[in-house]
Amino acid sequence: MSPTATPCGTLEGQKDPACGCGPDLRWCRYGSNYLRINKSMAEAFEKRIAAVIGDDLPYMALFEDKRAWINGPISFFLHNQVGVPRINRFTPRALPLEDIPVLDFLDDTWVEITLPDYHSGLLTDPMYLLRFQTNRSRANRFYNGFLCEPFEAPEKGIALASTLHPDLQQREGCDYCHGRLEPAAAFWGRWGETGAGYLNPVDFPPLRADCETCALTGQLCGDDCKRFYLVNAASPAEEPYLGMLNSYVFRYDDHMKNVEAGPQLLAMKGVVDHRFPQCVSNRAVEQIFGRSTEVVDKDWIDMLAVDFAASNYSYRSLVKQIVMSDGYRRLR
Amino acid sequence: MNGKRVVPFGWIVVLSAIAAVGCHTQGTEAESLSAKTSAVQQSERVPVSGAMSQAVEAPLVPLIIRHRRRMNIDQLDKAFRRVTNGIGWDEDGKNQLEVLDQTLGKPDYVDVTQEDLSVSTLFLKFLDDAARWICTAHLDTELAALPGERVFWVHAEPSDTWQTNPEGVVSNVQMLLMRYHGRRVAAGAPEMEPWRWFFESASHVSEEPRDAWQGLCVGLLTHPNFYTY
Amino acid sequence: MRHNDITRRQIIRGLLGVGGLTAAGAAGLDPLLRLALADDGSKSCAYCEGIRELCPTCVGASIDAKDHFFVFVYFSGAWDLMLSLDPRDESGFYNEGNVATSLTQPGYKLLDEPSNDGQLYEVIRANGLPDILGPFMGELMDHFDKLAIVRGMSAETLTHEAGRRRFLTGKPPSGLAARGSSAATWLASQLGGAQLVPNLAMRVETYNVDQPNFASGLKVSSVKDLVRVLQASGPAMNPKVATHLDAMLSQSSVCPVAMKAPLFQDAESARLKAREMVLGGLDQLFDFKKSGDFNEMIRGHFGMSTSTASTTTSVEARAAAAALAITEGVARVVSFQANDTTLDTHYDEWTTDQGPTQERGFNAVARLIKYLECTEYKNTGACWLDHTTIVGFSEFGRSAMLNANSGRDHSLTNGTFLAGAGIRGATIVGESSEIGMMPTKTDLVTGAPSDDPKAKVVKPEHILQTLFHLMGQTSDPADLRVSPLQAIMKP
Repeated sequence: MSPTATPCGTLEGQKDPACGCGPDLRWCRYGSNYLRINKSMAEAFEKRIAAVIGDDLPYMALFEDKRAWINGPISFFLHNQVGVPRINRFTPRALPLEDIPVLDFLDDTWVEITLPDYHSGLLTDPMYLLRFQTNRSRANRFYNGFLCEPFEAPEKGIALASTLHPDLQQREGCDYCHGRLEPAAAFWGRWGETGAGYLNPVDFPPLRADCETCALTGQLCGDDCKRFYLVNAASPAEEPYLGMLNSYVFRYDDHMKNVEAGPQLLAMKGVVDHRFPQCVSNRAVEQIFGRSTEVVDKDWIDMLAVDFAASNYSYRSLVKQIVMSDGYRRLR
Repeated sequence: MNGKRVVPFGWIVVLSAIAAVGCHTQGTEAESLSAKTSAVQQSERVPVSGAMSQAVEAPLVPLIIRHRRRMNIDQLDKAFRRVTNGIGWDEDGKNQLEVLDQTLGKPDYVDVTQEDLSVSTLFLKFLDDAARWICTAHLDTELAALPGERVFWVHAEPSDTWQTNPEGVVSNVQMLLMRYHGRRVAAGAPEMEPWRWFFESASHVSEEPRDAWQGLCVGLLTHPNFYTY
Repeated sequence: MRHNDITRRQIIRGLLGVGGLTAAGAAGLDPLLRLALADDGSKSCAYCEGIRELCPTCVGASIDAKDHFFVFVYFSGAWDLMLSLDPRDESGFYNEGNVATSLTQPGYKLLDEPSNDGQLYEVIRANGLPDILGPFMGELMDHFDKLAIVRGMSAETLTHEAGRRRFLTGKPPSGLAARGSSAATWLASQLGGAQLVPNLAMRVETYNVDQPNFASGLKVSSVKDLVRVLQASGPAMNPKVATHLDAMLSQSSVCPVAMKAPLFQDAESARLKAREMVLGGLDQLFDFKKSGDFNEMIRGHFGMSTSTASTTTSVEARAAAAALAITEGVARVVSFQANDTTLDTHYDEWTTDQGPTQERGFNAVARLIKYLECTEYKNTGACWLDHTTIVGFSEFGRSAMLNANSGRDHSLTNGTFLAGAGIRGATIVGESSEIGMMPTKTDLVTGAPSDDPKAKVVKPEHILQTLFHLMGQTSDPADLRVSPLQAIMKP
């Protein structure tokens, strides 16, 4: 705290000269240290992938594995500067402070930690959450990358709605995609958009009394309510949802569990209905062959998908099968 | 003066290059003409069951084919270090592939999300720079290493030339082609010919054996068989 | 100070294998210039002081396609047009008290130390009508007589990548993936076979999907890297061994296995091109840090310091590199990014960064224009600006209203500016809507806002089609499916 009672490791602290840089320059934000932090976060993401592939775990461990790695720059950031970035918000914390080892900024040693159960592997890693900053984009990327189901308009286009229903699942035309995209986005409902914060169910229940009160009475709403809850109804259709967590707005009963279960449930659904192994096989062929897959590849890819599932989703086995194939050897 | 036959240099190069038979000679022309195609699939006739005895053409069954592609920058960096036992393009103490990563088209996932894998003029210029630097550093390291530790001069000595140890040179080139290009090439195979020709002529025109070996190293790294797969 | 530009040009041309300069005898010159010359054939020129002693004459005549060059200037991050090309006068309808009606909030008073004291520039268009330009136009105001400004365009997207790629190719991207080749690539393929680097791109994306390999953009992220690309570096090989290696690699490329693989063929032609580039000695041309009269002139004119960072990696360095690449015969088309600080000012950095960042880019373009004006085109006495068309663009504009963070968000409304060969100067066409600054329809022939069914909302492809028409390609070769914006073309 500064003498003027400003928490120094926050955005407000950055503007308060009384904070200064603090012990070990912990409150100073400058380009070169952020480069190091960014680079570390990217490496940490890659380490998580390498661990799953290296240990030959089932491929969907990418979305379940609770191992993560932290080094000095990441530790420094999470301990001292998580409140500073004003555009990408890392609060509420996705990791309890006590779970983060205290390492020196210059220490590049990697320390393994175990993440709480509410994490869903890479799908809630800061790199993923920051790269895809809205819940819709997070869902879109997953559908594209791992289910091979991009959200695209049909060739003939979509007729525009004559009335603009605020619920995109009901708006004529928009429902073509949003009928699936909205419930899919809900899987990330407890993860802050434009950032990597986690909204725990205790502090951020589906309906929060103070947010409902300020929304209905017109009193000034606190920061949490303004950021995460519906406090202004732009249309009558939204009024029943005032005071509710944003991810519950227009949420159908069947889809409420998506918010609580998190992205790992979405991943499991794809495994159960075989979309996941089919898509992973397709993507692996694309990656290894360096081209989009074609009709001629279909039967072979179907076979690869079956074998991939039978191998307990071993990505290494899948890759080996592809590079040992006659098709791979037919090089032009 | 030095006992060497003096022939106009340019003639040696031109005539030798024409004479180098580094290609598969059977059916070369027909293959190369018909092979100039960018079709994704190639078809071949596959008889369907029961049709063998009938004079009916079987339907075409397209085959799956893979297109040759260039390594990305990360792969290239790793490949350099793998073949040289750890030496990359670390000029001035910095990995130059990292220094030039934006210019080389490596994605930053902010503005650029897909790496340009074309074999561009810019890529080849830097590959050439990298190859010369790496080969110099690699051969310096090899010279300082014990014979049993070497990975470049395994079947030949640094002082060997084509004139003094042709068999050793060929064995070493075979080893290097496997190491750098992943290709098992027999001593007398047509694929060996361009390398044999190059080393022989380089040995002839250079006074230092090292120059020919250096040239061989650079050639191995700048040949498409190294950076494409 | 007399600048040794003639001697330097001889050196460069010699290295390029181009014929040396011939003396500019009066008999070979344009009649107008001959009349303008003094008896001894020289002309003193205060306008070009600091760049040249003898000045060419910009006559603005029509040119052949083979004499046409292009520069694309990209302002990255989405520019706020109200600060420059499409301002609003706060003294009237757009005053602070009328925001709820106008849905437009110029906010000039919120700017931190605005240029021109936050005042708008008043201009008179070529048609005699008055108009205004924003406070951050910078030195580009000196060249209003050469500018055509297009307002009220639509980017049809609010995504940076989509907007940028749409302007580069003239086609809506597929998702975020660019479709088709960049206009720069297309132009280079039609015009640029003779240049060593037909298509140079400095921190701008470039695409080639259907044009010959030679037209692919040479993309570098800085002038420093451009120097490195053109420079022989690293330990040299024994030259004789290098010659043999070259022969072996060339021979390998014609083996049947190699002939079956298009990539092998591309590799060989690129390898030979790379070698040719290095042998040209062109790195000296762009190494602005080096001492010498010419580099001192370049640094002084473009506003570069001698410190490493600003001289080789800055906006000014890229503008200088563009100027020299064009005038020294290195490139046919050059694209460069005109800002180092982002223009994507969603937050209160709008008050401090948006305007000055734009202005710095405009200043760089202004100096490029002046350099081209003051450089003689191939011993003709005419100027390079008569042979070069410059296009300035950004992916889209910014919202007419300030947001809760005192910044501006993305807006569909866009604008552009052009100057140089074939462009009608002192011209402003189109307009954004009175309420909320939205795109509106423009008569492509007259440039006037119009509700006529034939009028169109101008999009990036209209601008690119205009460029193709300027170089004589009127058959829509890039399949853009739109008409050119005739209103900005010189009659």
